[in-house]
Order: sequence, then structure tokens, then C-alpha cells
Amino acid sequence: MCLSGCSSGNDDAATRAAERLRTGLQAGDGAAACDALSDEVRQELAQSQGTSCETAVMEAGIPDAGRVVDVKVYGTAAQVRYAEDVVFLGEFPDGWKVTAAGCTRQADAPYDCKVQGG
Amino acid sequence: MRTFIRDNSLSLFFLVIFFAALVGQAFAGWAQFNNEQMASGLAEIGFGRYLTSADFAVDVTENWQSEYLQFLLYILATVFFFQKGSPESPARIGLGTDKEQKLGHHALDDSPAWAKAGGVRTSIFSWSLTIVMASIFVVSWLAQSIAGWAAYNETRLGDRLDPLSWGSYLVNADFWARTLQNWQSEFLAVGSMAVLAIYLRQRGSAESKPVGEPHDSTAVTGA
Repeated sequence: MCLSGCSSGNDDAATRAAERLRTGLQAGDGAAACDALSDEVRQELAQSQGTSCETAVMEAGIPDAGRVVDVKVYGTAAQVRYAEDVVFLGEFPDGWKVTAAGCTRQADAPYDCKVQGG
Repeated sequence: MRTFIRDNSLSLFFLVIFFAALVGQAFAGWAQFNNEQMASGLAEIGFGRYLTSADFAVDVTENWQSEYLQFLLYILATVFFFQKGSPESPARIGLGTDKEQKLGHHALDDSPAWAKAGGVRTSIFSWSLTIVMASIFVVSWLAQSIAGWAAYNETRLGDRLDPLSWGSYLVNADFWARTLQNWQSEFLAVGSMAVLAIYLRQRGSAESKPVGEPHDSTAVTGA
């Protein structure tokens, strides 16, 4: 059974996936940023913006995240907290992918995210 | 081998149906987990991964703890409480005398060594069934709380909510709903068994009075 903190491998893998999004955005590389997103998020992003994922992700308003503050992994879900952002991830057959980013905490409700699935 | 099976058929029967039910639960739970994953836009997992998941662990341990609690309470309640007419009730409440319990110099030649020994060893052995059942209950309930915490947090992260600390989970509705839904059913089953066995019979069962035994006969079993 995998509990939070029991698997630094999973923590690292989830963090690497979140970092791929962050570095892709910082480099202005929409393709690299999109590659870090789950299929559902990619489709939702392209559909809602009426453009390609590569363009939409750069225009989504995801903030410059800063440094990683905390990583929590429970089973197939993870949360990477940055100084300036919160990113949610899921584990897929091809590895960890971002399921929501640019997230703002709301009282007693799910995080409101710039990028998220449907 | 044949003698072993005949001498232990009751234990073996329950061992076999336990594993059959556990395997069935594993496959059903796996399918249910993957249905929920798909509905949340997350990936399905393999059967081996499910067997080591918090989701499977909490479903197993929440039932284990309640079953061991049920029998623990039944063992203790039948020391201190009385139910007239029930084969599950003691003839009279209390721990009984050393003579009745075959302890110390009242022990038989083939009594367990710790029943003859006296002192701390006999005290421990006198409560050993309760001690072991209580220990399994506590460990199972602790395991439920940890596995339930992890499974609940996995769901929360999928819903874009912050995970809870273990301490917060212990006062969360999910933990108590899982716990109490099992407890109430166990208490109902064991309580109704004690009452129904006053008036109803199963010929040949050690859990029933003999068929012709009067309804008001207490602490009489049929086998």
C-alpha cells in the first residue's frame, strides 16, 4: 500500500512531471508544456480556447510557480505545491501527467484552476 | 490427511470460503475502482496494483475490525450479561470459580500448562482469547484508519482538494461512516442471534439448543 511519503520514487516522478510543465512554460515551449498534461486536460484546453493545446497552454495564465514546497502522493493521485502555484497530477500508463495547474484554493470547494479537465 | 480434514472440517470450511470471498471482493473492488478512475478521467490500474492499493486495504480492514470487535464483545458480554433462554448466555454471570474453570489444583491432567501454573501465567491465559481478539481488532482498526486515510486522500486529490492529515481523517465522516456502518450490522446480527436462539432451533448445531429443549432453558447447547 502506498501512502504519502512512503515512496520517494513516486514523489520524484510526480514532481518531474510538474516540472516539465513549469520548464515548458518558462521556455515558451507550448509543445513541451502540453506533453506534461493529461489527455483530458489537453482536449479541454484546446476545446475551450478554440485553438491548439500548444497555443492555449501558453495563454492560460498559469503563474510562474517558483520552487517546490511540498509533494503529496496518494495512490494514483498527487499534488505538487509550489511557492506560487498548486498542481494536481494523476498517474497514467505513460507516467504522471498534470490534471490541473494554476490552481487557487477556495474555501470548502475544489481548487479553481486555470487549466483542468472537464 | 483424511483424519486431519475430518477433525478440522469446520475451520477448513471457513478458511476456504474466506479466501473465495476475498478473491471475489478483490476482483469486484478492482472493477469498481477502475470504473471510478475512468469517470474521473484517470487511468485504470492493473489487478496486482489494486491488491496493494489503499482502496483494497480499507475495504478489507474495515470489515475485519468490525468482525473481531463483534466476537470480542460477544465473548466479554457473555461473561457479564445474561439472557434467559438463550444458548449463548452463561447460566449465571461472572468469571466463575477456580474449580468451575479447572484452574490450579483443580486442573485436569491434560489441562493446558498455563491453567495449572497459577499466578500471572494463569491470569494471562484466562483472558488470552479476549487479549488476542482485542489485539486483532485494534490492529485492524488502525490499519483501516491508515488505509482509509490514504484512499480518501487519493479521492480528494482527484477532486482537486487538499489532502487531510491522519488526525483530521480520524474525526472525518468517511472514517466513522465506514466504521459505524459495519458495527451496527454486527451488533444487530449478534444480538438477534442471542434472542432468536431462545425460540428457534437448528437441529445438530452447537449454536442452538436441542430441538426439544424448553424455551426458558439457558446456557444449553445442542451438540
